[in-house]
Amino acid sequence: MKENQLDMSTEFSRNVDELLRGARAEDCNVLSGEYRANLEFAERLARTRFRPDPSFQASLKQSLQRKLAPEAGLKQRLRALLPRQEQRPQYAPRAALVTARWRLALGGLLVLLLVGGIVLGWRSASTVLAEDGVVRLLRLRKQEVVLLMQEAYRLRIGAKLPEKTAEVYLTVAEAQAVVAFPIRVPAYLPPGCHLKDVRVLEPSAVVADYRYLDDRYGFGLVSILQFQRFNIKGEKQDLFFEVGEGTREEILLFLDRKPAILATGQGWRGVRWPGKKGYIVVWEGYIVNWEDGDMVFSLWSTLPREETLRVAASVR
Amino acid sequence: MAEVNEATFEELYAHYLPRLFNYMIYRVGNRQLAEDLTATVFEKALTRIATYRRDRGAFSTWLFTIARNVIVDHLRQQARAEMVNLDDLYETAAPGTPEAQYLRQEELARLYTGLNSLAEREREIIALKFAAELPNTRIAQVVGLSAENVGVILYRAIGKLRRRFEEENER
Repeated sequence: MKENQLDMSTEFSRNVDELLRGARAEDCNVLSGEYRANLEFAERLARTRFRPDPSFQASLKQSLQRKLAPEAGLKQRLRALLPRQEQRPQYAPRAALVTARWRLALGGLLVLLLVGGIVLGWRSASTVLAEDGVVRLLRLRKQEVVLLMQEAYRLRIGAKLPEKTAEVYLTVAEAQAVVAFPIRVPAYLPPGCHLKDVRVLEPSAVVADYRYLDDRYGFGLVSILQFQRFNIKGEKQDLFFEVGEGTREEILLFLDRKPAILATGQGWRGVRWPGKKGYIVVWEGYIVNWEDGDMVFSLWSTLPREETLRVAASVR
Repeated sequence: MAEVNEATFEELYAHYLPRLFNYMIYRVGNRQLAEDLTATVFEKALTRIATYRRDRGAFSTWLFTIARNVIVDHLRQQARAEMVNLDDLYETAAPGTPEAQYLRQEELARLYTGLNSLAEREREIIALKFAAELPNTRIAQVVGLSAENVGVILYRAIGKLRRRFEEENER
């Protein structure tokens, strides 16, 4: 009996290690009904990731780097502005180039100060290098911010979803009466697209559902979730952007100068039949996630990409 | 003895920060506290890096032993009930609908409550397995048990947690 239990737990640990490496419970060797249930639960845990805030990651890293090499202050500060090579190899050559340019630029400026402008011909070369370096650094900094934002949202978990009844209103005005913030609506909707209803999840969170039916785009949906970063009790609320399993593509862009993430995703629902569980894809489309001040938005749409972005950019 | 240069630091930081933070969340259930404790562990590891010896074990074992000691020190100072702050949990949702993503947080809060109801050793082993992603042999070194023992406790703890979570779902 004890040996059996040992075998089972050894096999279970082996399966969990596989799950942590990305395998699925259904691919694992299953020894009994309870074992299967435990394994499926372990799969859910294996997919749960609590991630630190990007700002925390960056500040801790900086503080540790200072301790590691206090004499290299300037170098470290400059390097902290650049994307990390091991995570984003596509930027690494550019980052190295910028560092080299900075060195060149600083050296050039120093020489200029020493010579005091006697050799005027040097002015243009070093100034151009310095300006170019600054511009490139600023550009990279912007990319870095968006990438950090993307990292924060690159989270996922697979699990059964709880059911919760939301209050449903047929107009934005009716929903507005019970919501603690001004509900924003798209100023642009493609022809044939109209509001279906507004679901109030909480006074600080609503989902507005739109449907369309026309000759050009056929039938589909546009769904806009919006909520306050802090609810009426002052509690922080986070949206968990779907850029995980059902996502094939992610693009970083700017919506009216606000960083946003456009993802290709799938909406699916869990189904269950005797002894089995599964998912069916109910639609495929685009997801746009962005923040504006205290508000967080997630727009899901089966419209074409350009139309989706046009609708998202018009939400005010 | 080990030395840390910039490149090694970058690599270690990128690899272990998410796991360490995840482990801290499993243990204390509060983002702010998890960040503080993660920073403490990294600072301790950096100042003590010269004492790490490769021939005595893997770096992950050494690092999570420090993390465990930091937790033990913290638990001595704080009453456990005060540390649980479910509102601070920060997690993702399954794909489905935007509404479903929003609701997902509640389920995670229930999961966390279940974790909190386990015995200290069970919770420790689940955290080292699922958050720190350590193999049983290394968990065994951190907690001072045999790898087989870790496997048995892990299996039982997962069963217990699953049942509690299901009971909670049925209420």
